[in-house]
Amino acid sequence: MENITKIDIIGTEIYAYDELDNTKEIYPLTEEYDFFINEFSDTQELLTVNISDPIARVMKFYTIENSVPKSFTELDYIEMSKEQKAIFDAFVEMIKSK
Amino acid sequence: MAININIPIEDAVTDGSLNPVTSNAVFDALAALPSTSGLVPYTGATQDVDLGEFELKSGQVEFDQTPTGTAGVAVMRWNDTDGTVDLGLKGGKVTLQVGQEQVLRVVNKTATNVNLLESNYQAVRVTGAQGQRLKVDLALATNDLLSAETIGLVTETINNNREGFITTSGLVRGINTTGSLQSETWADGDVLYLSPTTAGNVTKVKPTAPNHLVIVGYVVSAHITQGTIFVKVDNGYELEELHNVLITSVADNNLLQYDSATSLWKNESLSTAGIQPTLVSATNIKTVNGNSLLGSGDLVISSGGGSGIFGIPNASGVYTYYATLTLAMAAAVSGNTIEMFADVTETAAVTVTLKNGVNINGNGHTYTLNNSGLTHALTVAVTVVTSCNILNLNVIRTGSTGSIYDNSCLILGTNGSGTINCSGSTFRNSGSGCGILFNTNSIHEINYAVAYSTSTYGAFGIFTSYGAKLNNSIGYGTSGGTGIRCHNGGDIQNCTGVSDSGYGIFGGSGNQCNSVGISTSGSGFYVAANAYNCVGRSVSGVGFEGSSAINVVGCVGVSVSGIGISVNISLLHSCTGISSSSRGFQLLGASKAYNITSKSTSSYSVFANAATIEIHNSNIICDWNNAGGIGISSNTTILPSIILNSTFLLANATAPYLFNGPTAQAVSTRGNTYKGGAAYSVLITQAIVATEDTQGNIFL
Repeated sequence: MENITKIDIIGTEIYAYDELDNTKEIYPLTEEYDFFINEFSDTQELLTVNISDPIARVMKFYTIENSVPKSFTELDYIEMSKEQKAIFDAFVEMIKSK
Repeated sequence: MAININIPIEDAVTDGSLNPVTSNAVFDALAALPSTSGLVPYTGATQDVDLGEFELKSGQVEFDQTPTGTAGVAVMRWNDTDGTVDLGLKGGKVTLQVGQEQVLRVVNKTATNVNLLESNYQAVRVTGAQGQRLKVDLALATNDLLSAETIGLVTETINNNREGFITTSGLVRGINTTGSLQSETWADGDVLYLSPTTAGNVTKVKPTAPNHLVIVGYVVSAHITQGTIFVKVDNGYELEELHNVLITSVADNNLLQYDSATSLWKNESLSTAGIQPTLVSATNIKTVNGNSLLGSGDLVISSGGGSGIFGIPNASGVYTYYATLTLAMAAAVSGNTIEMFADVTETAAVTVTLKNGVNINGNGHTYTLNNSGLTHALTVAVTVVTSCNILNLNVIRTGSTGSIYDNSCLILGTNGSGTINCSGSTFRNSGSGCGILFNTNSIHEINYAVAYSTSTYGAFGIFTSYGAKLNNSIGYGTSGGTGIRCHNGGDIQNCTGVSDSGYGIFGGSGNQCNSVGISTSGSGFYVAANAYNCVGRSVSGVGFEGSSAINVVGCVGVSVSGIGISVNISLLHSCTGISSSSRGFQLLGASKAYNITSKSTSSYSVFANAATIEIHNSNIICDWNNAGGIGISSNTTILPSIILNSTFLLANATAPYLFNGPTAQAVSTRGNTYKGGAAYSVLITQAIVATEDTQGNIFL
C-alpha cells in the first residue's frame, strides 16, 4: 500500500490507511514488527503512526471510551533519536511494501 | 465405764469404823462384774456386732469405703466401683446399686411356661398381677398387645411360675452385649429396640411399621461376658393415644383433619373432609385437550406430535402440539401463536414460511438451521402482506458459505409488505449470509430485532429501493461484517450498527434517522443520501463518512486517529466533527458546510481542497499547539472559495487560520472571527470585490 497517510496498531492487527482516498489494508501484527513495537509501544490501546500529515510522529492513546481517549502521548519525528528515526522509517517502509 | 457396788451398812460399819471382815464384799462385788472383753468400743472393734432383734439407731450411718466382708442377701455395703451402696436382694442373685437402678420383683407367668433367663436379659411385659406381684411374659414388637406394656429386662433367672427380679430402669451387668446372641454386632452407645421377630429379644435394628418401635435401652459396654445395658423403656404412642387426637370409629381412607372448635385432630371420611373421593363428571373435573381425567388407561393428548416442541393454544388455552415448526406453521391460522418449548436444530434444507397474523413465541429457545445449502431459515412470501410477531426467539443460520442472498436467518420476500415485531428475538448468521435480509422491493417494517452477521451486506441488509423500514434494532457485524446496510434504500430509525473493521451503519441510500454507527477500524457511519441526527464513531477509521449525500443534518462524527467527518460532494447542516489526532472535518469535491463545528486535538481542524467547497457560519477549532495547528488547510492545493461568518479558535500563535501552501488564491472571506492564530498564508487574498448596498447586502 503505497499512499499510506497513517498506520494504526490496535491489539494484534495493523491498519494502514490512505485517508484521502479512505482506503484501508489490514495486516497481522507479527514478530517481524517487534523491532518497532519494542521501541515505541507500551500499554496504549491505540498506537498511531502519522507518516507526514499533519507531521511525521508516533501517538499513543490510552483508555478510549466512545472514541475519545482519556490521555495520549505524542512523539514527533524531529524529536526522535537517530535510532528511533531509523526504526520509524524502516517500519513505514515495511508497511508500504506490503 | 461407771460401776455401782452395793454394800449393806450393817455389814460395813459396826462401831463407827469399817468392819475389816465384812469389807471383803467389795471385792466380791467386783469379781461378779462381767468381762469387758465382750463390749463394743467407740473405735477399734475386734469382732462383728450382733444386736439380735434390737434396732441400731444413729444420727447417721457411714459405710467403710473398703469393705472386706462378704456380700450377700440383705447385706448393705459400699460399692466403690459404682460410687453407691450395694444392697443384696432376696435370692442372692441380684444386687441393687442404690439410686442407680430400679428393680421389680415379678412372677414369671409366660404363656409358654418357659423360664426367664438372666443370660438372655429378656424383655418382659406386664400381663396382670398375682400374689401381690405383677405377672410378666415375653414382649414382642409385632403389635400393641404384645409390646405396649413392656416394662423391663430380666436381671436374674426366674423359673416358670416363680418370682424374681427384673430391671425396669438402670444397669443390667455381666451379660453378653456383643449382639452375637441376636446375630448382630453391637457397639457402645447403640440404641436397643424390642425385637419384632423373637419374643423377649432386643435388637439394634430399628423396627418400622406395622411393627412397633419400643426403645428398651442402650448398650453401655459391649462385651461378651461383662457387658452392660442401661434399661430405659419407651413404649411410644399410637396415633390415637396422643392428647390432641381423637379417633372414633376409624375406617378405611379416613384422614386426619383439624377441628378448631375442639382443638383436636379427628379422623374423618374423605367426603366429610370435603375431598372428592372419586372423579365425577362435571364435578370439579377439567379435561386435557378435550380428554376427561375420568376412566381407566392412559390419558391421550390429542391432535399432534408427541414431541411437544411446538404448541398452538386454542381459545381455552388448550395446546395442540407439533414436532416441527413447519407442521405448526402449516396448522396455524391468523391469530394463532406458535409457542416453542425447546431448542430445535434442523439440518435438512428446511425453510419455514411465515404467515400473516401467525405469531411465534420462542420463549427464549433457539431455532437453528445448520445446513450447507442455499436455504433461508425463515422466509416471508413474495408479493403478499405478512404481519406478525416473532418474540423471544433466537434464530441461528449456520453451516452455509454460499451466496449471501440465499442463506439468511430471515428473508423478506420481494414486493412483500407488512410489519414484523421481533421483541426479544435475535437473528445470528455465522455462515455467509445476513441476519435479516430485505429482498428487492420488499417494503416490510422490522421492529426491535437484534441481528449478527459476518457479511459485508450486513447483519441487517436492506436491498430495497424504497419503503423498507428498520426501527429500534441493533446490527452487529463481526470479522469485517457490516452492522446495518441500507444498500439500495431503506429508512432506519433509532438503530445501532456495530462493526469491528467494517461499517457500523452503511447508508448507501434511503434515510437514516437518530441512529448510531460504531466501528473499531472501519467507518462508524456512512451516508450517501440523507442522515438526520445520526452519530458515527470509530477508533482508527473515519467517524462519519459521506459521499454525494443530499442532506447530512445534525450529525456527529468522532474518531481517535481517524477523521471526524469526511464527505465528498455533500451538503452538511449543523454537524460536528471531532478527532484526537486527525482533522475534525475533511471536505472534498463540491461539499457545502453550514453551521458545522470542527475540532482537532493534534492536527489541523479542517481539510478542504477544492474551490467549489463552501463553509458558512461554522466553528473551526484546533487545540494543537503547533505551527501545524491550522484552521482550514488544503495542504498544497486549493482552499474553499467561500468562507463566511465563521469563528476560528487556534491554540498556536504561529498557526495560520487558512493555509494552502505556496498556491496563490483569492478566497471570499467575510464576517469571520479569528482568535489565537496567525492570519492567513501570505498568498491568500480577498476575493470579495463587491461592497454592501444600503441595506447591508453584498453580492459575492
